[in-house]
Amino acid sequence: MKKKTYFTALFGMLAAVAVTLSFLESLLPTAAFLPPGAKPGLSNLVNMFASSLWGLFPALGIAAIKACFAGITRGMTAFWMSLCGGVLSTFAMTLLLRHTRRFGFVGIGVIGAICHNFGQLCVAAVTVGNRSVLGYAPVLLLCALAAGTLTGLIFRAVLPALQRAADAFLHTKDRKG
Amino acid sequence: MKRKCFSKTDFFLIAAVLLIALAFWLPSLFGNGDVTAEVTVDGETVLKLDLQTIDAPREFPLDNGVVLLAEKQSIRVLSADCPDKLCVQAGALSRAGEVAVCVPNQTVVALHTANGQSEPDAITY
Repeated sequence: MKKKTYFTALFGMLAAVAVTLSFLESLLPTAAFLPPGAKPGLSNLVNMFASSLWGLFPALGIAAIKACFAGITRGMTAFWMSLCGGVLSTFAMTLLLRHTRRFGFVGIGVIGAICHNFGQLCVAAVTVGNRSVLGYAPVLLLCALAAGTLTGLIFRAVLPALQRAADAFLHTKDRKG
Repeated sequence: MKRKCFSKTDFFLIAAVLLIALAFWLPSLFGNGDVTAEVTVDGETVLKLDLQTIDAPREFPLDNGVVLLAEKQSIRVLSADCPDKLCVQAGALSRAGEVAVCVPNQTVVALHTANGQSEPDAITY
């Protein structure tokens, strides 16, 4: 019972961190050579950590909370784009984090970022009913490479500290990754 | 065995993604010549402009709150009533294959070469 309380508390804190990171990112101006709306996707770090600590469903929960925040602040389109991107990238990252060791953290970050962009692009293409949105795909791939490498490196750097904190907090050792 | 930060698989992954992205992206950089702008709302074409015939800057307000500004050889989204304004930030489009998208208003501005072929449309997904 106590363990469940700790889980709820830590889950809430992680969700808050994810929402805060995505809000801070939205304040960043877009560089001129990047497509409009390109962001480093730092809140994906939280999904990565939740899935390496607990697995798929809590990480999907974080993605859903992030999507609700996007929906409240930026409207229904943002909700669907955030949800599809977040869910797709969470599935991919959980698979890689928990079921194979072939990929390093950079590779997992890159695949997470590509899946996130792909999910969003699909929602955009369906919403506008026009395939020419896919013209963004190559440039989004390049952005995902940069953003994914960044999140992978940061994740590698902060993981030991996060795990120590989570272990102390949860008194558990049942993590993978 | 601990997970590596950057594995050999990562290297191949990044190289493959880079190649794919560049293969599709580079051709669009060389698109030039006469372009037509096609504006679609919810998949329906509402406006088609030959950008060569525009002599003075001209505004095209659409019914859904999106305002376009066409100039000689380029077109941009001047304003929109959506929350994020990504379509406005996309700036002026002048090359075939470039697009500005307003997802909340289901509006796409896409440039095609004058003979009706837009280079990225040759990509199949």
